[in-house]
Amino acid sequence: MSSSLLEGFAPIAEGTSRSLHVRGIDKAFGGVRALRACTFDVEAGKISALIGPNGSGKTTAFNCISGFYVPDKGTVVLGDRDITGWTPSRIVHQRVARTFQITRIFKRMSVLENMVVPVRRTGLKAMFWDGIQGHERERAARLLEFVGLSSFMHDQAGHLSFGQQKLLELAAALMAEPEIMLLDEPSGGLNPIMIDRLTGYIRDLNRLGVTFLIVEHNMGFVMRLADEVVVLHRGAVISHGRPADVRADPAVLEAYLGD
Amino acid sequence: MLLLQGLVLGVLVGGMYALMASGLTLIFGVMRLINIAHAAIVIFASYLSWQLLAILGIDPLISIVILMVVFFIGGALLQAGVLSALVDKDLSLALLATLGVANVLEGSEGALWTSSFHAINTGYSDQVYQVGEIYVPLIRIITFAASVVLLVGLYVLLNHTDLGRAIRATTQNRGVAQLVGVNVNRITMIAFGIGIAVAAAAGPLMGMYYPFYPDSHWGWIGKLMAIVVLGGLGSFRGTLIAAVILGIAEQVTILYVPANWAAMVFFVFLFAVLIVRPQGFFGHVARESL
Amino acid sequence: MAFAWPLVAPVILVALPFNGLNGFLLDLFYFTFTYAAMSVGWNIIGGFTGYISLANLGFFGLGSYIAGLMLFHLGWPILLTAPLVGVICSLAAAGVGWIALRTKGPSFVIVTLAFTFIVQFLALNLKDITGGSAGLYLPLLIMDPILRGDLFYFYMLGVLALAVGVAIGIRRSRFGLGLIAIREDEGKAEGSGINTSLYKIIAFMISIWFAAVAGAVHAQYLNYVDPDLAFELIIMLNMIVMTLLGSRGTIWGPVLGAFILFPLQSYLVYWLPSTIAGEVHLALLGVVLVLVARFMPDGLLVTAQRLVARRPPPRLRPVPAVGGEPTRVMAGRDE
Repeated sequence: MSSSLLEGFAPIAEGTSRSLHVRGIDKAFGGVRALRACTFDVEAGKISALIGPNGSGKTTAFNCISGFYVPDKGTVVLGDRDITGWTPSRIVHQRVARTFQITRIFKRMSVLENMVVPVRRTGLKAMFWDGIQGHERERAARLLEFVGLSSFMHDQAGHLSFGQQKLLELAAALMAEPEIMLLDEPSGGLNPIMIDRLTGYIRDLNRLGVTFLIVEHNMGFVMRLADEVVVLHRGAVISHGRPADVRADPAVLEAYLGD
Repeated sequence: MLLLQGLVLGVLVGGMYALMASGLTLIFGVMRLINIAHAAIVIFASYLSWQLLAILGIDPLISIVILMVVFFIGGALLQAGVLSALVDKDLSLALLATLGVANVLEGSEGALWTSSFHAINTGYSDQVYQVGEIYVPLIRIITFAASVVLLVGLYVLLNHTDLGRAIRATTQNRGVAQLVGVNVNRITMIAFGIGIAVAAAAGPLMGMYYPFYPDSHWGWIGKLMAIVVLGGLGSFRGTLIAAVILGIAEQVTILYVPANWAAMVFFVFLFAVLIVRPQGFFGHVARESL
Repeated sequence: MAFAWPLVAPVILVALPFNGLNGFLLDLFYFTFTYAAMSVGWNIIGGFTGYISLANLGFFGLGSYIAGLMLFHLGWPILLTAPLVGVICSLAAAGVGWIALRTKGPSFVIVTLAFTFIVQFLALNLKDITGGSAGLYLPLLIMDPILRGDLFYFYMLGVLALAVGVAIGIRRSRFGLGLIAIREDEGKAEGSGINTSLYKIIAFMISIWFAAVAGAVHAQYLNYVDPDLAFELIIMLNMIVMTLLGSRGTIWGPVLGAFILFPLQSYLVYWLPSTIAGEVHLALLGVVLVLVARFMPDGLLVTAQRLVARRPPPRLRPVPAVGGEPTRVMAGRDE
């Protein structure tokens, strides 16, 4: 997959993309403290991974960043903007897109319609009358080609295979040309060949300047791909750094093996 | 003192409101469904109780037992035959089905008993006790006592039996409950039946309290929904507390405004809660259900 | 061609009164158009967006009262003020929607139900303003009865045409896709950048406009407004059953439902003993609602298209059985 397929996907100019700063997030549900003083950075232009044993709070952190949960305490700052507590759609308009741990697509819509949902438009006529525009269809077609789903454009999304649905979710998230992509367990349930493909897509997009924060369980996938790894355990950050450093960190080993 | 009177009456009526609303909360808990027909079922039970009294001379308090059994079965059948298929497919269809049921009941009542007011009057309906400066009609004490008995029974069922545990598990997390071996479909059917039975139990009590007519369930369902929202949808404890709070608010308001306007208190609370704290006081934070 | 009828039907309907329809039939069509328009309106929030509104009845009644009072006190003819009354009610709907639609889930049904109840209560109890249960008698429209019949016929036909036009626009547009996304998976829609609260409120406002206009016109039709008639439950039930039976989430489904159910009901009610006709009617319609929800929830239009096309469950949009590229319904415009 060469990045020429992403023509029309504007590369993000050096220095204009923003970093994400998570500072001191507390989040509790009833008696359960899912996140404690969670603090880490996602550097612009890099691929960061968020890992940790089950129940460490990875998806909760994701949800706090993307607006699906409101943190009890702490802030989420994008560039120089405090986006803590913003609604998810408002955060998406800051060009931060996300996928879900359990793949969510609109099963009864066609693949093309799924692709078009995230597209932003302005103006009364564009909102309330116009159908799918030519340039939108073209962008969708290119992105579908990028992920290898072109031939399914008019099929019902629910009829795609599991792996294909995951790729559709990814492709649709790209329609709004995000600056930052939050991927929640993107390799979940995929076979090794698909995982390689996915790795390739992520690298290609990253080369164009897209920042990634990836929650993952699959260590091999993460270690190969990530520039920076953040380790959560019981809601707090216990380690962060380059993959090799984190892998050797005794605190991390203990967290995974200890409980 | 007038205020104390309002307080006492409020607690007494609150008990009955709690009984009426508890079934609604239970049903919402296991099915995430707002049973629009809930109040209509209460009223229908009132009519049946009235009829049993008129034809067979059965005291309304005794009719509670009969009605609970009949309505439990009816409710379970409705759930198994109609609602369970709908809830899985599309919750809004189940909601519409309950709307349909409410109208079927209302129409049937009008056809069978005409649209004039009915009230259940027993020999002891008119007695009033006086404690200090407070006047308490006997009926209110009786309905409160009956409500408390039934609510305690429901509480014990939910918290100290295997069935209750299964119901609570299904309410909290259906998927996990199923994994640990709960037959969620059967439990849902039983829980729905219980919810309907409890509503039916409230029928005779309500009928002794206030006059009723086919239309009156619309006023009641509004009040019940205000109660369950205030208490937090699905929270039994929340419902009890909210019912008493709203009962008191209503009875105190009645001291100052005409009775029918006092009902508006429920809606003032409803809108206030939805504006300030949409998840109620014991429920879960709303946005997180996205 | 089965799908040419949307074009043929309006032509026929416009021509009919000129071929000497009698007063009874003019009335029948007037009611059918009114129900169809209200159902198309209800479908926008109930069908496309998937949020069951029970407020349309409340706004029907509110529209009747506002229009009636404007006529009564200010002399403003309802047929001119109806659209304005619709706008007033839509603005009120924004307020109701804001309270009810900030959270996902059941609060919408609850608030809309409460709203309808409250409005009816106020109509009944604010006697000084509304005349209470005695109602308000409105000035008559002095005109030839047949001409009067024609007037209401064409007026509501126009409103219906507008409703269908709005539905078409919504369906093909970004806004409509957003509503459907909300219905299919609201969290995902929000996560895709759709401001779900705003979309829902707008859909609700549009839906209410039609109910309010219908209510206003109906007040003039009856020359009378009262709390029982203005908030008759059968109106709400019909809107919902017609939409469901016709097919929720489609443009023409609610229209089909209205054109089938209203004449049918008018005919059947004739056979009921008059003392309990209203009650039995209500009960039967309730039974129909339960049966349709249980056994034909997709509605006639979608089920028929599926049978004719004889292919696997349809996509979101009803697919034309004869020719046509599958997603042309989402009319793309190539630039």
